[in-house]
Amino acid sequence: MTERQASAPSAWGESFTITPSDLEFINNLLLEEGVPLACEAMAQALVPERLRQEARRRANLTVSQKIYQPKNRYQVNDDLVFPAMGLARGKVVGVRPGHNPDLGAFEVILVRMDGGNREFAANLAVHHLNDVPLETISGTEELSAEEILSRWGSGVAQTIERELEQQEEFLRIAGRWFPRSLVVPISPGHLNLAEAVLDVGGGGPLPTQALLEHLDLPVGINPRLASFSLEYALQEDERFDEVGPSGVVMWFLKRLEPEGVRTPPALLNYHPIPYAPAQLPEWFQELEREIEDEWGSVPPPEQDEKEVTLTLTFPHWKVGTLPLTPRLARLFPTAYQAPRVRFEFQDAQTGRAFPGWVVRPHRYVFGLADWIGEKGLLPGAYVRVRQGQESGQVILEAATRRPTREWIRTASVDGEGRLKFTMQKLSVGFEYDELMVLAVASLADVDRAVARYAHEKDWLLRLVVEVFRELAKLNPQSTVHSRTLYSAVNVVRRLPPGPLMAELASRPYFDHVGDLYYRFDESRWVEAR
Amino acid sequence: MNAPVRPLRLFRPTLDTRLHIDYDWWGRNDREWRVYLSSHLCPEHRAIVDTEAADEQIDWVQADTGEVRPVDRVQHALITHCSQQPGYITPQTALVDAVFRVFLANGNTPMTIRELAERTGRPAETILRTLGGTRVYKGLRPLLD
Repeated sequence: MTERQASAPSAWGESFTITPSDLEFINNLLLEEGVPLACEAMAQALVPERLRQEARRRANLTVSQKIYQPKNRYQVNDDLVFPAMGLARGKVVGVRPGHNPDLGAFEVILVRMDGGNREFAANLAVHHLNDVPLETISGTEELSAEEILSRWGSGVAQTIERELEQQEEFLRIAGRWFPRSLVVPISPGHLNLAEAVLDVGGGGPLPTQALLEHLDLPVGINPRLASFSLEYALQEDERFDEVGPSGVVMWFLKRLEPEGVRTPPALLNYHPIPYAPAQLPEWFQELEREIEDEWGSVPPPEQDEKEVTLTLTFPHWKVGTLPLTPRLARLFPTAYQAPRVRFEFQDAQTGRAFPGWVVRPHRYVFGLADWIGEKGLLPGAYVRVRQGQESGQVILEAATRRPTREWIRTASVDGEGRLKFTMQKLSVGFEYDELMVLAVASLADVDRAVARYAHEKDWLLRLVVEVFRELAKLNPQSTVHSRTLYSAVNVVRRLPPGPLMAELASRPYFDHVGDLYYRFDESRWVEAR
Repeated sequence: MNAPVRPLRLFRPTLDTRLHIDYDWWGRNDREWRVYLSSHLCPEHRAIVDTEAADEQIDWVQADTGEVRPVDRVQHALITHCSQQPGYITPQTALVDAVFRVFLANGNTPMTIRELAERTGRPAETILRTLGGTRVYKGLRPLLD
């Protein structure tokens, strides 16, 4: 970087790195501001600083030489450079008060220059030269700070973020950084008070300011610094959970968070199963897009969507969650660091609001159990999700309709804990995916099946074969659609399409008969056994 | 305006010669100077010419460099207000007056004849012939660097 011109595009792309002098600048910036800053704000300060350094280098300025700007104050013996006068140099030899009723108070410096003494304005708040970026003084700049920030600003901010993560002397809370040494100490008593405030408030969520109001911190502390210091202390204390979306800090008492938020429901746990993607048929990607499993490998959409319709699967239906798929993730609030984000759902039909939680590391959204029950949905039902008018609000809509009695695939469990499927006539008042819809005769029985397959040695092989053969009985052609198999298998074990389809592709007794349908070849099964 | 002025003998001005107002030329007749100056002021400021405040020195700060030039109130009004009014220099303004007004507006910063031509909209050759000769109009003279 030192040899590369700061205003050249190559200086700001992937090769951009943070130098020790950059770190010193950032440290000074934080000290001067006295409040925590996000890396985006640091990038906005660092880029012009780099350009200023480059300008000084190009203009061959010594460390002691100051660049003249009317807004600055100067003293006798200051060495100045005048960008607007062809980088002419001069030494301040006198300072006097300026007199101009239109300009208010300012100073006039007498400067000894090559052609004799000249006078210049100083300590003058309003002047055209005050707004001219210093990086333009060399007159050969290729890119302005604005252009650089527009094109590479986020990359610069990310590089700063990565660098600061390596530096012990900096702290980060909700995407903002501050020097560790300047954080105001927060006592255990303060934290106990904060816990009490949250406790009274039902656990939260409360903003930091609401907690600060109850804490008796020393007077005279910058409010933003006090807030940051408390946030840091809360973050380091296991009792508290930061649950605000990006840019918003909200606190919740961990012990009062719903169980399904603190601990991922067992039904949603996916223990990755190794498989060879090369084995998968070429239409696998199409299937993955149709199913859209949160543990699948579908890339995020290039453009945000205003509304996403998804098919509720059994595990999410049972625990009252939605999968945090790449498409859905765009509609829910996210966070810089917080693993859990609390927000508000709103029912599109009734307008009723209720709390929701995005559990980012485990890729699910919690809080729909009651809503699913109220709507009478089954696994396979369509759910429409869109962003609400207010920031952080998410609208949920069940595709309900007038109930009719329909034949629905229904899961039950036999005496040995094996999953069985039959067709039963049920009252259905919602739109659904015909290939994925299913009902469950007894949830308690399903738990027995879950336990059985959990202890099977070749559980994947047994589960897929047993469920497939059961499903094959339900139609005269004895074929099973990949989506139906996926939906049914997930009743007892969390399994994304990748390993499931790899299992189908690698076993000779599963024949692909077209259009994502498979048939089970009993003779090959016997041979394989 | 404090720049040294040398005798013009042996000097042949060109289009790149810089001109300015030689206030010393006016210094001999203060009354005449004030009358002429007031003719360039807008109606709002014309009255201040004959007041005591007219001589008050003001630190005028140049917009492009930050340099300070002490000017009296009349000049300050000319620079900061009157010269910004529409009609300050028009095609109907006499050539000498137009050039004079350019210097009043810029604090008497010397300008080449080419630059003056651009600012006044008059042919440079005409300005050279008029102001580069031996006769001095309204104190407008070449500046010897």
